[in-house]
Amino acid sequence: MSHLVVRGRRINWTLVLVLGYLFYLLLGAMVFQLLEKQAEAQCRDQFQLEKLKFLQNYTCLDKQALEQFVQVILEAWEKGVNPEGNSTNPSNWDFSNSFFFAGTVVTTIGYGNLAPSTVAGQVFCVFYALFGVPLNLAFLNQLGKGLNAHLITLERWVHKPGRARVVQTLALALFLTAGTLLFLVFPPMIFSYVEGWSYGEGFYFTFITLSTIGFGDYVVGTDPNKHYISMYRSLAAIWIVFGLAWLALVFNLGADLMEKFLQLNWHKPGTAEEAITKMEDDPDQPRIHIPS
Amino acid sequence: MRRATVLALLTVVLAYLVSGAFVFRLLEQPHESRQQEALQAAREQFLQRYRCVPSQELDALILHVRDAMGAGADPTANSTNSTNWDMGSAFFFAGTIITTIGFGNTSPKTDGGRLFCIFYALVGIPLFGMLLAGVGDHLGFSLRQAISKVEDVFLKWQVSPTIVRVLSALLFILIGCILFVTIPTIVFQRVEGWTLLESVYFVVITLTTIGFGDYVAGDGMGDDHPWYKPLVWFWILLGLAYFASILTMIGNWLRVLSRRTRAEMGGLTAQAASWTGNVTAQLRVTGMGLPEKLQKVGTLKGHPPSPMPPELPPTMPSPSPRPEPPSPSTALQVAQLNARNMAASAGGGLCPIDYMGENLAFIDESSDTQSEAPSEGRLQAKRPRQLRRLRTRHTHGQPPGLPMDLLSRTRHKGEAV
Repeated sequence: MSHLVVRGRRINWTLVLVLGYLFYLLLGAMVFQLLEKQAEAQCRDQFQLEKLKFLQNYTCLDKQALEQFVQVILEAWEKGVNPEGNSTNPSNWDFSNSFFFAGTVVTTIGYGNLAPSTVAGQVFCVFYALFGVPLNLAFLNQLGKGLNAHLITLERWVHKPGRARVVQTLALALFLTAGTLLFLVFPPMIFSYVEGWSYGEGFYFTFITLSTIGFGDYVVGTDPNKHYISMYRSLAAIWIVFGLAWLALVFNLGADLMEKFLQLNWHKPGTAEEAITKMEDDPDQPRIHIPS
Repeated sequence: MRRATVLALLTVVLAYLVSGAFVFRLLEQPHESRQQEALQAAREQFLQRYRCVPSQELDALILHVRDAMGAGADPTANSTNSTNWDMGSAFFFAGTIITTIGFGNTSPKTDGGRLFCIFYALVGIPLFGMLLAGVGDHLGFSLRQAISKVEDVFLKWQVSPTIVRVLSALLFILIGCILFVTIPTIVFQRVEGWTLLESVYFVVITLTTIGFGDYVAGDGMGDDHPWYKPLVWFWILLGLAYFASILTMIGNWLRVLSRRTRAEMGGLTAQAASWTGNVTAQLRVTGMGLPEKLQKVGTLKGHPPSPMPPELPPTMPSPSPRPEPPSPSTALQVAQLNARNMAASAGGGLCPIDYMGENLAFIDESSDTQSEAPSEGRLQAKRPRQLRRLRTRHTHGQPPGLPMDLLSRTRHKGEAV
């Protein structure tokens, strides 16, 4: 690893990247807050007004009025307003939520329970994503290298002469199991405890988040009736970042294994070059490959 | 990757999507129709006694509506309206899973559907990554071929190679933008009735795989255009490959920028503007196999590392004349990267975890130069651009079934993720 040879420089570079990353998230949070908060408050007030009007007129209610009312609720929901409760609901675009939103943009999770609805917010979001996504990837790459460097101890132990391949495979399996426990099994327990989900729902949320699919049907820290501790969402964001690096590693391992399998089956002994390649590159070896 | 392999992969992915669509429909449709029926019943009840609606009743109704929307049912239309889980929509939904876009306008609500979703994604995402790598390779290759022809014309006119490189990069961006951003934007404007900004917003949010789901193409279109959603999915596939390379290019710009800043701060000027070479975002690892490389590392390990300043960033050989040939730096870089692995695996041969360090080395900036022989590197210091282009084309010409090459290409998916 070059960062051990040129230690001071490399660590500085990682630090700069981390700081730049955090700064970028903060910047995004502030701009989104600036752009979206007012529009959201307006939208929410509008919705409350509609509700009051409906209450006044309910004696002469007909089907059309009801359809209109339901449409109003639907639109409010799509704009991220919770139709329950009153106008004192906490804002969706306060700072911690904006921060979390910026995180979901650059990691490409995109839950969609919050999305910019103003023109300016949408324009900014496009450019924010265009630069934030590569930045996030560079960050994850560095993080992956860091994770890899911490595996040296395991590597040393595995590389002792005389170890059978079974042991090596077992060590790999152990590493994968430890990662699974740390990133996929324990967090759902915490989420199900805090959010009141079942463990299955917590696990579903965990997976949909870490694979960056991000449907947004379950999102942490969104229930207006619950009181969360202040660091809850930030801790979730940190978990997401580390889990993403780990899951990308697992996905690449899966892709490599699948590729090997396909190549073994489909590569006919056509050119000599391919045969040489196969010989040079022992196909039995699984590979762990951290993406940048 | 050969065309036949790509086609076979495409077939597999399509079959995978269709099977996923079937399973999701099977699991989700009954639940969804139950939700719809429950909502209808609640509305009928409300309509019967709307004359004396108290506030609690209203809130109960709102709660019903909210729950229905959370469950994916559309409360505004009547019970005969189109389902979210017909074949076309389920297909589209499966597509949003394996591309990791995840719009979220439809999502599984039953336990079975969720469990299946998890395993479907576990297999589907790597699969799609491979397909994306193949498609991206072909796409980039054909675009590059066209661009290199234009480049040759420019080079005949004695235009500076740097300008030609920048121009070709711009051309690449322009062609891709027209094909994958402008045309779809116009189509969405017409078909969906969105504004220009909404269309562009949807295009970018989709192709970066963010996928908020506030705008979804073909949402609630029903049976009017059965070809529309598959067409959208096909556009997503090609567009993702293009966007992955664009995002990589922006990442390279950021990296070169930071590298320059660092170099200036350290008082170093030996920098090569190598980012244009990475427009297609490929890390090429040509002919040299692993054992060979390790051998080379082994022979170079004895050399003292002192002649090279440690801050010197590992880049493509600089066009500016340098006292020492760049190849030793590359070799040393490899040596440094692999020294520990070598030391660790001296007796035990290669083991799975070895590859971790090995592959990380390829991701490093030095990877572009790793595969070059020392003499070639020296030559390149004199005439870098022509040679580099020739070499690139040569690499493209080869039947690339090299596993290492493929591996470094699957990196794309990681980036898209």
